[in-house]
Amino acid sequence: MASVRLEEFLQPISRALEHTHVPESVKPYDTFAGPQRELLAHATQEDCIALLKQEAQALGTLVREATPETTAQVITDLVKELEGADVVFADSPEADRYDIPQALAAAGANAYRWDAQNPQESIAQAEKAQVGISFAYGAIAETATVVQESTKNSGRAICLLPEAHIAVVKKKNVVARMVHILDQLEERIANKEVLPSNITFISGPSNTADIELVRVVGVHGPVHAAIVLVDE
Amino acid sequence: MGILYDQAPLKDKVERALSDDFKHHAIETAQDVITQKRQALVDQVENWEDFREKAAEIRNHVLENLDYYVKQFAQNAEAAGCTMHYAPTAEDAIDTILDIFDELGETSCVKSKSMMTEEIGLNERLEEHGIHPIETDCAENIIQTAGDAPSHIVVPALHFDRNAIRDLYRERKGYTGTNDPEEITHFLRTMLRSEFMNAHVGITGCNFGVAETGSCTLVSNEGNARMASTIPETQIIVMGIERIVPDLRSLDVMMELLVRSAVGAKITSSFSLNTGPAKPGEVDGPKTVHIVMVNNGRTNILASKYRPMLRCIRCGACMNTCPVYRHITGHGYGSIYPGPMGIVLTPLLVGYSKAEKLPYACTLCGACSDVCPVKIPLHDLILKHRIDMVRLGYTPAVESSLFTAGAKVFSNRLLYEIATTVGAPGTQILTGNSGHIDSGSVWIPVLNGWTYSRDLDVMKHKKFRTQLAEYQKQKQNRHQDQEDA
Ligand code: SF4
Repeated sequence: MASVRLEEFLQPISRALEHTHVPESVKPYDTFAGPQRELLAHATQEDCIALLKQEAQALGTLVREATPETTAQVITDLVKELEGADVVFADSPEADRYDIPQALAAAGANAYRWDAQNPQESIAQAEKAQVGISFAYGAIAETATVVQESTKNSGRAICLLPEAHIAVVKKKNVVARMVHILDQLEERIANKEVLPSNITFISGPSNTADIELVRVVGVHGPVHAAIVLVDE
Repeated sequence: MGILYDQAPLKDKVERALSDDFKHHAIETAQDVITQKRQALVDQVENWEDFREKAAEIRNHVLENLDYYVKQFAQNAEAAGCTMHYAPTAEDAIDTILDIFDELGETSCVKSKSMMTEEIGLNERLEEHGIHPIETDCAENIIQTAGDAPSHIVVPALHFDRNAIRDLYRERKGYTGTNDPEEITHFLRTMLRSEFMNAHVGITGCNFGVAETGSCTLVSNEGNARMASTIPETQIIVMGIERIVPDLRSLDVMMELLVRSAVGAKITSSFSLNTGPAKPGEVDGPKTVHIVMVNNGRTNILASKYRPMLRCIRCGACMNTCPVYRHITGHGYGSIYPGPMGIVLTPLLVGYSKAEKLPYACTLCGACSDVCPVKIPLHDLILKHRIDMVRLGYTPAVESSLFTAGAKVFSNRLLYEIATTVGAPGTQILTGNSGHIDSGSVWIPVLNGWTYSRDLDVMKHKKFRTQLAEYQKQKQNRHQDQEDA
């Protein structure tokens, strides 16, 4: 029989609920209010930055602070620290605004700009690279989480395939908790914006404890993670 | 494999699990490590109980309106560009997935961890049809390579030690390294990386489906779920109908509880929110996304008094805290869903005749209900199973009568709390006159196998619970004092 039509699939669900048909609306339930609003309710921007740093340390994520002028230098220093000879970076306006390509080239790194016109090459470069650089939508202080959207100019592979991932985040986009990012997304949907195909909340390097519960860092995703906080 | 992977009598399974010292020890350690980490984090969240309450409410709201929400989710996922499939049964789900492979002409795929695919026994059926699924979660890969069954829903390969894993990969995959977990893991990274890069189909589960947007989320520490939804052109998402939350906002409450409860961490290394296939011009991400929604008996549960079980978010906290699981290990249950949640769920999915005496593999201590992040009254539901089993004639007469007597004591939570406090006079109620959990507790048949050798540890566990309660009370008092001051 395999798959059935949606209407047919819904029938037993309605029956189980003693509904004669699928209702057109439901009694509203308030998902907005709740305990998720109480935690870190009074955290200032400064508190958030301090918390993010503290949590990042616990996860093993490096954090560096920069201004728009120093970002390129901070990134090249990080790339050196992470021993990145090959680098892939997102084709975002910020990359150029911060002069990142030039700085990487000057530092002797082989930097590849993600290229939507060259899908195979982009993936191959990301696989080869030791470091991937992306520009995040925002970050969450409570868990030192970077929120990364996938777009034509910033593929999923950049933050996944290289051994190290550097996320560049504007300080003003650091929020206290996940719910604050979700609020922003809700607002975007309400304004009829289409969600990106993928939003990943990245917190530290990939890890596992599958063998005798021993924590090992670096499984299928990055082995090293870094956040550059830009004050602008 | 399906839900039940070991059809031996419960007693035999329990005996086998008990005689395996490594397995037993591994589970004890895992329980201790995970519950301690969990508790430390829970203590930091001052309104943890409010979170549980909120999560239970959100899940209830969805279940009470499940037809509406499944429809909304399906329509929005379709609008986002996903291809929807609706499978009333496990068989239908398998047929649907096989059809997708036929159409693509593909003969292999990468998989990330998914309980739903295990429930429908997908891997075995794919293999039968010449399709090779590669499990990419480290633990799942260990189990697949060994041809074994999972012993836990979150950390399924707990029952293998590092030497066994080293030997396994040496023998089957050409590993030449040591037994160092890091070295083995990095071997797996390299081995599986090439599988990912060559894969055309990725199969994943879905932790939460967001009705408002048709999005599916994936929670993963290893990054394999992200890989499976980045490289292959086709992604197949297999999800139960009850996985839904109303909107994006609800994800905060769910994630706050899920990760802390599951692994004793604040967050996993990745949490992805996928909405539809890759947009035109995007380099990676699946070009085609199939979502297979599966009922497989869930509407029967929805219509029954066991409905709260559908709130489950598969965190595993109930088994991490369970004294019976501690002793008989995941394999004692013979179901892919072990521990308290498995005792409730398995009979509902396979029926009492096949689930055998599973609801008796429980002391009704209620530790599971206390930790469950969505407040499922697990021990109540287990008791309901016993009553239903007796009513429907699945329990031999002698057990029925003993059970009825026992139920009087054990359905009274307060009395039981007293009874399980070590050293309290009430212990007598539990242990008869002998002072041990012995033949007097024959009405919990599964206990027979282990009371003689392992009873002390149960007591330790109870003591821990009592201490914990005291500690919490103290904390409350201290708080009160501070406020008063
Ligand atoms: S029943 Fe509760 S504690 Fe057990 S796995 Fe489900 S959500 Fe977690």
